Amino acid sequence: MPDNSPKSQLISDIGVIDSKKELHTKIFVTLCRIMSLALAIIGILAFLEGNF
Amino acid sequence: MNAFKKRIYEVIEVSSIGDASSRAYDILMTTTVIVGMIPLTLKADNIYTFIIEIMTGIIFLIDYCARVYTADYKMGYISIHAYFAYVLTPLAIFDLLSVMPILYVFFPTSQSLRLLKLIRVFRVVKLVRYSKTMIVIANVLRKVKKQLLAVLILITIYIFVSAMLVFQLEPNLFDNFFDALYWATISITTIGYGDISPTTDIGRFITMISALVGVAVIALPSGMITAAYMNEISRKKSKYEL
Repeated sequence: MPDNSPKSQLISDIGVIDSKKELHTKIFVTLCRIMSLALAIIGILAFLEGNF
Repeated sequence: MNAFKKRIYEVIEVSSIGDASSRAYDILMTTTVIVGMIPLTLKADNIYTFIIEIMTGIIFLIDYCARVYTADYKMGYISIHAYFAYVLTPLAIFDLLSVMPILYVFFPTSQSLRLLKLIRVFRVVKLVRYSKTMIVIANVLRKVKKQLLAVLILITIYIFVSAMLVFQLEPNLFDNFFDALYWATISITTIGYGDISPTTDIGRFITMISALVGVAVIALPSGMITAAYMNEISRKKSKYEL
């Protein structure tokens, strides 16, 4: 039977422990992308507002 | 705690292959630097430039605090001196200057703080971290800095000497010595705007000498930088081939 358990899980005597590292990474990357996009949009709007 | 600090260091430094968080952070910082320059392209502020100032100021402040927090990893030794040594490095000083313009947002009527708006242009130096090409150029300049400094001193001495000579020979041409320095700089760099030009034969003779000297001296730094850049490229190429 293939082992399909994700790498962020630790199987120990007390049970399966899920690591939150991947979740934290996904949240951080998503936040960075949203902020980059928001800044880019605001920058374009500022340029258009100021020059046209 | 050390693992957390190390992770922060890995994220804020230039990303390695496979590090999604660091890559996303690099993109965010690059976008912040570029967007932070947009207010400098406008004559008047608007609501969007205000939002840009606030957002970029906060992001740069968080970035600066994170870099100071992980200074011991950056400097390579664990000591209180590492933090002090880091804040005195050129990039750290530029990082701090990047944060300063936000003060103008809170005190817009202050004339002295108005100068902080101009400091925004130094934010472009932060891009050196995120561009491999810029890192190569920075390394090249570091290697030839003594030679460049020698040429710069030579050019400065020549500008002052020729400015003093023509200032004495043609006193009616210049309002003050700064005009003479301006003329000498424009002549030696062979730009020659023509807004200030000597009228006497001796003044024109010095201008001719300045132009000839300028062609030779101004070309020196570009030759040095080109040779050092080619050496750096060859060195990197042979390193990858080995």
